[in-house]
Amino acid sequence: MNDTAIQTVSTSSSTVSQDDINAAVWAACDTFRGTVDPSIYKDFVLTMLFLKYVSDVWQDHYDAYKKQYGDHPELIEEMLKNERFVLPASASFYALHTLRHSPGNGERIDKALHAIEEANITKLRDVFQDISFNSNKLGDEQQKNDILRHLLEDFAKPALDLRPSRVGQLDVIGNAYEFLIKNFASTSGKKAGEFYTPPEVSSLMARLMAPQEGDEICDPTCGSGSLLMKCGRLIRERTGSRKYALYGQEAIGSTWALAKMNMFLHGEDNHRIEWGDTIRNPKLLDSAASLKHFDIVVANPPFSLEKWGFEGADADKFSRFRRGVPPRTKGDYAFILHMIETMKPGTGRMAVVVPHGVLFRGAAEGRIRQKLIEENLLDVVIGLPEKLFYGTGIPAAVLVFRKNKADDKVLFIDASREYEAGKNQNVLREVDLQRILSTAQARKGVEKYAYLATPAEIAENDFNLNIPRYVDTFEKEAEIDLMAVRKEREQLKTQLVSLEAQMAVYLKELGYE
Amino acid sequence: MSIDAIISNLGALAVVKSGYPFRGSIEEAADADALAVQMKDVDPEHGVFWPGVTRTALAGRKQPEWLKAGDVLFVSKGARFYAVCIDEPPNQAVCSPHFFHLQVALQTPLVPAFLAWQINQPPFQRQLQQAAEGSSQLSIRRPVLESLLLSVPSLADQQRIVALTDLARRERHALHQLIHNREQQLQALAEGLAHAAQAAR
Repeated sequence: MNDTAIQTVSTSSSTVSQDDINAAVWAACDTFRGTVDPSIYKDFVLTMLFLKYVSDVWQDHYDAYKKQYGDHPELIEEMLKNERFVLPASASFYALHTLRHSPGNGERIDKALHAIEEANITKLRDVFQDISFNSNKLGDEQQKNDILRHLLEDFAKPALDLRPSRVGQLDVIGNAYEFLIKNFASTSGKKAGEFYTPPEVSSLMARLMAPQEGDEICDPTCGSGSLLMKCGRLIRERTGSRKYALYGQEAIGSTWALAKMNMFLHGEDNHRIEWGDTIRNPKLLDSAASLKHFDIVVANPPFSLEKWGFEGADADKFSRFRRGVPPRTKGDYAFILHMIETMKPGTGRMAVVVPHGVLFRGAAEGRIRQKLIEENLLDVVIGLPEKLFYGTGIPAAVLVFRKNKADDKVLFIDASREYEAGKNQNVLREVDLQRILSTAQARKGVEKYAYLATPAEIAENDFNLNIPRYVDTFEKEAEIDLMAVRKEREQLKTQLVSLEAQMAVYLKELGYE
Repeated sequence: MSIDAIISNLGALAVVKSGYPFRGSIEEAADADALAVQMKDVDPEHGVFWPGVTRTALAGRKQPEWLKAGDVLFVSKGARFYAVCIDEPPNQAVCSPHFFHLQVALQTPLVPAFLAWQINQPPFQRQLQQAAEGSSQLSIRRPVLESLLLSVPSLADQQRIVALTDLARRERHALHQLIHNREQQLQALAEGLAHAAQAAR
């Protein structure tokens, strides 16, 4: 028996494992399956998890206070006003669960969410506005009420008792939340996947950026916020400090709400996540109404977005497109240019996931690429294996840009051949990540893996960054011995003649002539 | 022309047994005493690939039906139904329930390798395909296999056909090598030209 097994046995009565919670939450999704599309029900399940968590934390603290100050209800009430989240009694999960058999579940849940938003307005403003449990998407009144009753019952299961005194460290819940987001991404494809970045890729990007205490970190297309949280977690793990700030912007309202809830569940209260389209309406501005600058900018923007905001690009008031306007139907460079503009002078650094076309497409994109290279902003180009992302098989690359580069060269890393093959998806292993990171850090060529290209070499290639032009991974075939080949040929022909003769004998004996 | 043959049910010439009733997946156990032949270990061209067979402990109380040389394994589930005649197992071995385990009785005038060959031929495959059942995965039930009509010529003719089959397999292999050989010739030619081009640069 190994250590973990012993641990589970000895503590199973009081604590709970990540897997238990994940399984219970995933089971709750079964209530919806077949009736409602995952892209819709994911919002309900995730919101319910948030509501349950807030209620359980509240209840846990209430019980503790009650033990301590049992005969002073007004004192308890005062103490509870200092909670991270204030929970009006009628809005708790338990109140909703108690009334689950009477009609109007949808309306009751909506009201409860509204009340929670009101009571925590600075933290939760608008978070629940796009999520209506009283929605026709769940079917007619009868069916809706039934589904929601099941949902309340699923979350009332003992496995989903999320009180801190039972669950221990906070992240178990945040992880369950991320588990669901990830699973929704992989099961329902792009539509509901919101371009979720696989954990190894976000981990790679966070580690490439080497976030420091005090850094301001931004993801202008943050989705559910997992990439930002990877950066934050890295600072906590390396320095123990919580001194950093996370910034994000997300265009889809319901995903923005998920990001907010996700942040709170992970204890990342120091965040500012804005709702809006980053290119058409950037929301992360400073006091002078110009783009705010960050130490780290990371993103996995939608690949080659078709309607990215070409119309307004010429007259962009932040002049983000002074190096050129990206093509009307491909938004990749729009996001890259936005990110470039939001890097702080000095410390500013960024990592962005792009489709390979960004490396070699010509016309406007070629001209923008040339400018970025000539300004000496591009630092590293990393080619990733194919089939790494949910909902798309195409290979992607990570580009690293820096304001203050150490030299004027670009490091190319071809990491496309080192991964663990999966059934639907490939996975980068820790060794693969380590190899990329140590190569990036050493900033030296490695045979068949990495190449440090000079500006002259890149110019000679017309600023085409296609990785095979720089990293030669071609395996030389063993030299063919023509004499041996010819000799084998003669032997095979003799062998065939002999086989033919032997078969003729048998065939004759069988009566075939 | 035709070969004289006796028409008979498969069930009258061979005993059809089920594979060993494993519960769940077959767990690898390095020091266990039995081999368990699974679908992955078998292909119609080469039979059982013994070095790859999983070693496992047999848990059931049922006395296992050990495989022996000359037994025929019939793949009864999946995209293709086919039979292979096995050689001597390197250790005591059973097959998984995806197979039927066919044994020709001692005095029966049927060569096992001939039996396997005949099952794999188109007219007999047609019979099997027509009798296959199942909604998500097709399978052949034991009575269906037992009722498969075989056409059994004299022992000498059976042996001739088995020998022909083996020669044909070797012919196929030689022809593949011949194709590969020609590709190598052409590749050597191309590399010689590319080399000349590089030298001129």
